[in-house]
Amino acid sequence: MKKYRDILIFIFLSFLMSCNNTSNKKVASEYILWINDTANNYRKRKDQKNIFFETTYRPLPYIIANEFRSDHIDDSLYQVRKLELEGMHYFSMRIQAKNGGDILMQNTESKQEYFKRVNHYSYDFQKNITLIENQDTINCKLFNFIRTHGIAPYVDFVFAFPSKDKQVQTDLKLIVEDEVFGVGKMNFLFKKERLNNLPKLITQ
Amino acid sequence: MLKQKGIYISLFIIVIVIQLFQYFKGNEQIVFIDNQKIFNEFKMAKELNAKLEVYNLKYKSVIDSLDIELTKRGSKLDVDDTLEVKKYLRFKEYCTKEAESFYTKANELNTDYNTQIINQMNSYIEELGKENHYQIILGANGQGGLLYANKGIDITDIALIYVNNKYEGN
Repeated sequence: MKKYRDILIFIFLSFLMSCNNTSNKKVASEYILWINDTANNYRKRKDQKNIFFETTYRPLPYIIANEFRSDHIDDSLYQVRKLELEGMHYFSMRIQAKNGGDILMQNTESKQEYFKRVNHYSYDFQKNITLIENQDTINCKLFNFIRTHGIAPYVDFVFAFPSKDKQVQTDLKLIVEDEVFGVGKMNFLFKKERLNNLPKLITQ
Repeated sequence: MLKQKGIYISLFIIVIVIQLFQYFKGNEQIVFIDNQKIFNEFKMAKELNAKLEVYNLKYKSVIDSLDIELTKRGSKLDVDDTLEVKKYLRFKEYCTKEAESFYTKANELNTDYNTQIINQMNSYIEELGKENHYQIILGANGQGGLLYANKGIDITDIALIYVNNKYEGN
């Protein structure tokens, strides 16, 4: 009987340790992989017929880890960069064709439509992206459309919204209005508990 | 001690049987959804219908005001005054064009919104089907497409919760 009890305690403790995984410290490469894993809920995906929309919440350590591209990040450099980036919520978004073709030529053959889409994503799309935090609707302040010129089957965007608090007070709801592929309004919900429970980036 | 062992083994067998039952049940199930209900109660549809309603109300009042003005001018019109008649006809043409453009735009919006709703709902229903290993999800629209189905395989409420959750970004 005592043997069974010990096994149960061992299983319970292992379970607790695995649950507490988010408070772990991670080196840059692990950190990037961890955020990119959809199971951890910092990356959300909406599958549509021929395309998918994928958004990623980009915490500061994730951005810095991506910039340094090394597992050995100097702590003072990290702190300086963190100070520069603070005060915003950063996101990225990818729109990708499932069949692998040029996303901007999806469901169209017309070059005119292609250029219309390029124009839309370059100049108008920013207005279609908002963030709801604490019942406030925040407009997108930083926006960059990363074109791949048909080489990759996707287009990427990075954007950011101003934030008042260091700690996230409520869930963040990212709203993206698609006008190109007939999808319309899309909501991406990022839970407060996840955003305030990020792993630490190991610096030296 | 032997009795306890027996209980553990029985519990283990029961759990396995339940799991197997659910696995095979999930794999073979044919279910149906009430199309009308899910379409009407889908949050996105509600939001877009409200948006369309606001647009319609806004422009309907403009068209109504123009209509009243046209009737007023018509009742005061001196048919012998050609300049006045010309003015009136120009105004009438303007009113007709405005009304036409309003109805065209309202129809376009309606079509766009319906396409968006159907696109998103279909993708969520597809996800629901894949997640639950449904073999077929039928759509009952009350027009004879589905003549009879046991209530036990009606997943409308489950699907409604699922699509609304997905739409909300969960």
